[in-house]
Amino acid sequence: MNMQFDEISRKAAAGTLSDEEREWLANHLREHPERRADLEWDAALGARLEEKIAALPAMPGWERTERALQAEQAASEAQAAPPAVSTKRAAKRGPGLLDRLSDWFASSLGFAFDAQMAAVALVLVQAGLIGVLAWQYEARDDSAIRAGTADPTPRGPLLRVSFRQDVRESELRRALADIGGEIVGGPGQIGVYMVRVREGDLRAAAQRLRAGGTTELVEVLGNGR
Amino acid sequence: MQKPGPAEIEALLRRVANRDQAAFRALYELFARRVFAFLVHRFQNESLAEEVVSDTLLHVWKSPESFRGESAFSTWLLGVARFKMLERMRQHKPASEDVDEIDENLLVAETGPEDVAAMRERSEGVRECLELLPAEQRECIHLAYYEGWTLDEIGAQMSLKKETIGTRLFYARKKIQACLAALLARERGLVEGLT
Repeated sequence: MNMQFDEISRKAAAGTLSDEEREWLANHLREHPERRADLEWDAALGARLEEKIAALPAMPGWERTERALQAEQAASEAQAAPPAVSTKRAAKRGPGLLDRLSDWFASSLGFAFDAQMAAVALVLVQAGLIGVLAWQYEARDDSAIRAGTADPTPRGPLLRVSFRQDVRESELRRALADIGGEIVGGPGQIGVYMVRVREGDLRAAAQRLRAGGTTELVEVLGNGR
Repeated sequence: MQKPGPAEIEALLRRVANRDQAAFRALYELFARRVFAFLVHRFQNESLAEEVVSDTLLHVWKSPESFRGESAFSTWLLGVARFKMLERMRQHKPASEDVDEIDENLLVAETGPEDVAAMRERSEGVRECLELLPAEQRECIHLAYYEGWTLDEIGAQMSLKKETIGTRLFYARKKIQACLAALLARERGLVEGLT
């Protein structure tokens, strides 16, 4: 076992070799050609992992995260909202709830607690309540609910793909990994998926998908680059 | 999969610190799948992994300054995710795994052309064999072969000596080879039985 070779071989599999390490590896293989099988095995394992990971959802947990962001935003907006008290209207109608509350504070605590302060206090209490509710909503155990994993906002250009009914999930994943694609929408009621291709020519990717024999329909949406 | 550079990440973190939700989403797009893949390989619990990905990235949203640049951002992020996942797993069940049991039969064979061919051609088999490894060995395999971490880096993450990590990787590799060989032998047996 050569620890340096093993480490560099694994880094080569992960695609993170520096130029210096690449040169060291080439020299080492010239001196020890028998290690080439190990290097190739490592590279193949790296490729299998890459393939497996490429088939995973692009934005796992995003829906849950977005809910938490929205709750946070709502709480901060509630905190920032100005107290909506119109003194004119209050004068017309006579003493309202806030004024009566203010009077009660003044009489029972012995100092003035005006209507505006009471309104601010009320808004702060509401904001606190919203904050607590938002926090509870975020912290609740959702493990029983399988959140949707696809990107909720598919953007073009995309492929519209319908897979053959007898295609196994593993074949579907392999076909997507082969074109560097990821499912960003669907399946709809008739089994149509929206697929985004991370890089390269969309039309060529569509062609490759059709040639793979796993699909019934492949259409390019948008300009297809 | 795209692996962003430090300058790009730093710029996004600065925007996140200014409460820029678009920057946060971009950061999420760059790292969520990577964190998810690590957690799923290590813990084999997709729904929990999904929640922990969300918690981990929300931690970045709430306190981006907690990343102090002492390591690569992805290294730090996977560390946060690992910690959060272990915490969640502790709530679900006590962790008790036989980590480094040794099968002497695995020690003899060297990597040959058959092993390389099996690894290249048997995607499904490789997946099955990876899932059969103990969790700690799967974690080492993921960090070494996908993230490209060194033994020192993995050791720091798992609070273990690098020699221990080297041993885990060695046995994981041998187990995968043995597992693939067994799958091929079973297939051959089935084919011979049919003819």
